[in-house]
Parts: sequence; C-alpha cells; structure tokens
Amino acid sequence: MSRLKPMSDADMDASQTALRDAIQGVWKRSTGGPFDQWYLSPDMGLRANALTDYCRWQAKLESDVLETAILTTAAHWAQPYQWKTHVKNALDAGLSQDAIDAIAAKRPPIFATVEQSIAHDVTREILETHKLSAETYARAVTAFGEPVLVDLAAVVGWYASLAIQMNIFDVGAS
Amino acid sequence: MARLKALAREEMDAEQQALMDEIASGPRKAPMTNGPGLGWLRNPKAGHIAQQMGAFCRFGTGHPDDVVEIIICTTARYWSQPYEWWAHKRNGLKAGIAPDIIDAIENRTKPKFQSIEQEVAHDITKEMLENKKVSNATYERALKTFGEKKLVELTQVVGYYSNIAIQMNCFEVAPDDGPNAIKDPAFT
Repeated sequence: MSRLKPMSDADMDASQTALRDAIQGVWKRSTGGPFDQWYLSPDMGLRANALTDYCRWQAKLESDVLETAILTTAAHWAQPYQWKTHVKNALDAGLSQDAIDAIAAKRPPIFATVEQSIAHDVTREILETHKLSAETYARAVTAFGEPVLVDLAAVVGWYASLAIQMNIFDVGAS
Repeated sequence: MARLKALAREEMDAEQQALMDEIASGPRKAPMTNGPGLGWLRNPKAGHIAQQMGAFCRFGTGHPDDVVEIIICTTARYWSQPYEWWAHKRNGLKAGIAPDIIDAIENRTKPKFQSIEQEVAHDITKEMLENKKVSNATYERALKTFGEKKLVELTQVVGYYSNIAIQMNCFEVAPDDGPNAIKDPAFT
C-alpha cells in the first residue's frame, strides 16, 4: 500500500505517456514498484528508467552476482517490493533458497561461488559501515577486476537509491 | 587518494573524452575528472546515463538551490563522503546557506534553518537515511510543504546522492584540494 496513488492512463499528459512507453519497453509493464513515483516528474523518470535499465540489463555482472548485490541491498533497506521481486530473479539466476534466507536474516550465507560471496560482503560492508576496508577491497578487485567492481558499486548505489525512494513512499510488496 | 587512478585527457580514449566534453558542455560547465567522474570514466556508457540524472538533481528539480544543497549536504554527512561533502558545502554556501547551518549538519547537531523548506528537507532526508523509513508525521509535513512532484524530486536527490556517495566510498574518492576525510562525531 503506497502513499501515492498509481496514475491511470487517462490522467497522463504527453510526457507521462512517453515515460510509460519507455518503462513498458524495458520492463513489459509500467506501474507498481519504483515506477509510480516517476510519473510525477517525467523528465526525472526517464533518467531513472535509463539508470535502472543499465544496472539490471547491461552492467558487466553475471546475473547471480547482480542478484546477490541487489538482494543484499534490499535486505539492508528492508524494502519489501525490491526484496520480493529480486528473490524471484535470484532463484532464476541459481541462488539457493538457503542463501536467500540467510541474506534476509543478515546471517553469513553459504554461497555457491566466491563471486557471490564477495559481492554480498562488499554490499553489506559499504551499506552498514559506509566504507570498504582495504582487505575487502583487495578481495573484490582481485575477484572482479576494476571495471566490473565499478559496475558492482554502481548497482549497489542505484538500487539503494530505488529503495530509499520506495521507502519514503511506503511502497509494499504488492 | 582514491583507489581509482585519475586520467589525464591524453590518457582518455575517444569515448571517455566525449563523456567529459558532454559534462563540460552542460550546466556544470567543467569536465569531472575527480569525484563521481572517476568511476564514470571506467565505463563511459554508464557514466553518460548517471551524469544525466546528476544534472537533473542539481539543476532540474523544482527546488531552489539552497534546498537542493541542504538535501545533498545531509546525505553526504550521513555517508561521510569527503568529496561530496567538500563539493556541496561549497555549493551550499554559494546558494546562501548560513555557515553555521553547514557546521551543524557536519557536527550532527540540530541546525537553525533559514526557512521551513530547508528544515523539512533536512529532516526527511536525515530520518530516511537513519531509520530507513519515514514516519507519517514527517511524510505529511513534507507533502504539505512541497506537494507530490517536488517531494518525489526530493527523494530522487537523496537517492541519487546516496548512490554517488556509496560508489565513491567504495573507491575512497576524496577532493584534490580539501580534507580527505569528514570528521565523524557520534549521531545525536
């Protein structure tokens, strides 16, 4: 139950319709989750949609690593919509239910790969302590290399942004 | 000293140079070779998309500059991000925010604001980041002060500058000619 009412097609002006089509083009739907907020400021919404599209579909991360980072971010912010959506994606990407349960409970998960484990540790440490220790950074840069680590940080940052915006408007799991 | 090496123009390929030119030709009027630009140069395609949102948050919302900078300074304080703090303390002072307000934000004490809008923007930003949600009272006060459109834009500024702070903290990005750390008093 969000603090904002979803906008109906009949209420949209031309810029909102263009935003709806852009969202639909990427996600095959155009309401719910982060989207309802964006219609209030369509120019902002187009830019948010492009950033989300990049992080979800174009970042240089394997899908299991990507979903590990996103779920860890969603757990940190306790964002119900982000959590529910990405549990499905994470299972599709091959994460185990046990690992997902551990992320939710903020216990150290037992991951199938070292990359998943490092993505989780980087995400949790940066969100909880606001910095990365030299040791965690060294592990991450060795495992991923600099360009992939830059994208991992971008995904954590942007999904944190989405979670913050959704939590201010109390967007639920729907 | 950041974990990512700064690139001189002659070290950049055509795509990286084009990104810097795009940033310099926009409202920032200068390329961004430090700060968030350090990460963007590693991936100019992502950098292009991100800097467009950054430009919106700085220059495209319905909020006046002083309110935008209050939101950004409060966010930079929360994440203890030295580059973001340094750049937006400067912008905030330029936008007319009183120096003792900036100092209070840095010291995590309650500022005496110059306007209701500054105060409401600060309070919702701080509450969201510290509690990870906002109370009905805070939400209603912000909605009444700003209306839905400007409130959404406010949340985007909090989110985007958190996003940038998180990325810069991963790579220990700090200003070239400012302190490389922001002091870290206890939360009050």
